[in-house]
Amino acid sequence: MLGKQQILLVCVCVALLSGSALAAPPAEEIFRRMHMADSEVSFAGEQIAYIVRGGTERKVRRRVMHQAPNLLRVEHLFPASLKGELIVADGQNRWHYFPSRKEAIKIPQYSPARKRFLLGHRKELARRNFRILYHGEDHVAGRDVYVIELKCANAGGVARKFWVDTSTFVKLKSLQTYPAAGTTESMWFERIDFHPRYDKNTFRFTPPPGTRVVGPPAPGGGRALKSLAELNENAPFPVMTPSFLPQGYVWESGAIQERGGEQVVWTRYTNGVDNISLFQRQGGGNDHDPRRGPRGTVMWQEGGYHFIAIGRLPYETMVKIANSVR
Amino acid sequence: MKCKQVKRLINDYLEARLLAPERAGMETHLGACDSCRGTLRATQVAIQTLGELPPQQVSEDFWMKLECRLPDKSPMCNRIATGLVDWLAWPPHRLAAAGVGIAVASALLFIGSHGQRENVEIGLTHYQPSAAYVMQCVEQHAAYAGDQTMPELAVPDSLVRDGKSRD
Repeated sequence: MLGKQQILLVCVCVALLSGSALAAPPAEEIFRRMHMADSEVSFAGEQIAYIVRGGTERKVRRRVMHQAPNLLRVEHLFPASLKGELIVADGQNRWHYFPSRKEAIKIPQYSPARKRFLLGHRKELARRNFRILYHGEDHVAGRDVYVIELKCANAGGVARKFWVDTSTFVKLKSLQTYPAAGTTESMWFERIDFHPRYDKNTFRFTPPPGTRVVGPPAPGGGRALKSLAELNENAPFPVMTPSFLPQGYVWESGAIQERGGEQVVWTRYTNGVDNISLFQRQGGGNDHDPRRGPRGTVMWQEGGYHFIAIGRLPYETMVKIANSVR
Repeated sequence: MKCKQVKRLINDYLEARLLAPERAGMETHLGACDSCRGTLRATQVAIQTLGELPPQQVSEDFWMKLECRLPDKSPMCNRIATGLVDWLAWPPHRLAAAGVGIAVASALLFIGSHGQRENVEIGLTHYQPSAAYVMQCVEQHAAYAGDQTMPELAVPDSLVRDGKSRD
């Protein structure tokens, strides 16, 4: 009898253990670990990006090489017009090279510590502003994934779904829909290897001769400024900020940059998932009406300053933000 | 697929940027339409000729102006374009009346402003940032979006820009 009880107990324990091993972590935990995976897991693979905007669809194939925490190389394979376009993050700078324009945009990277801080801050905001739903399991690139969705009541119908590797928590697929912009963006890996071996030059980039390098120096002279007060102390002119931000957005940080001998103040706002950037520089006129600029920007002028606001929000909301900047 | 659609997609076709169903539709149409085949050949020649030309420097605001002329342009551009098309469709007598009206208004404005030229020039001033500056801001914003290592946001910009210029 005792033997039977012991067998039964063992069976129950095995069942419980196997059940707990198979059960998915809570959706919030999957989201948190997905955020951190970029800094913790190295991989190499081939990825498809598929974008539909205004009825036009485009497909890009690219080779992605990543070494944690912050090295990256992206080579574009298709279409032919993007071939040769390259993104390299070498740990100090992130380069985006456009061979057709003979131009490279160089943007300073944040340190891994700074990045961790930002991600931690955003994780808390995201928890407040979004509901994270678990939609079960699926397969992407021959691997098991968890499917989660971010829902936000104030996001104007924006929908985001992520397919997250069950063992590494790397995002293997994503689908983001922005109804206001009529845009759907999706990305998925067709194959991925989590034990890549890289050549020492993989994450180095030297602009080819004749390339025009554009981009600001490190923000704030290498120092990321955090508070508005600190920014105002260091900026060469009063920093203007919006009194209106969509619900859930808060101030995140600011930076002072020098571009072509001119100072530019860049302030950033976030809701934990999406960001709004505001670039302020001297030299504007008095044509205050915000207008739609290229690449989804909104531009206007106020009190001798020129502003550019960038964010994935409906145009009307961006204009409301612009009109509240003082 | 109709001729209009084929002509719109010819650049994409030549650069192998079409998805399989679109490509098949193009080829079926091209096989049966002399006019579109002629356009295709002319486009090929034009691309080849342009490719042989030395690179030209364009002004800094060239891309901004060009973008204004592309599909998915700003509402202001759309309004101007739509207004112009509507205006061209007016009947001759209405056009003539509008022309006389504009001429009279211009003359009055000229007379009125002649002695006050300074005031006219003090009106709204519009500062146009360079396209390179705007591009840098956009790239920075994209790269900053969490300084994400996975650049979902890094490609779409150039991709969409590329797409726009061909649609």
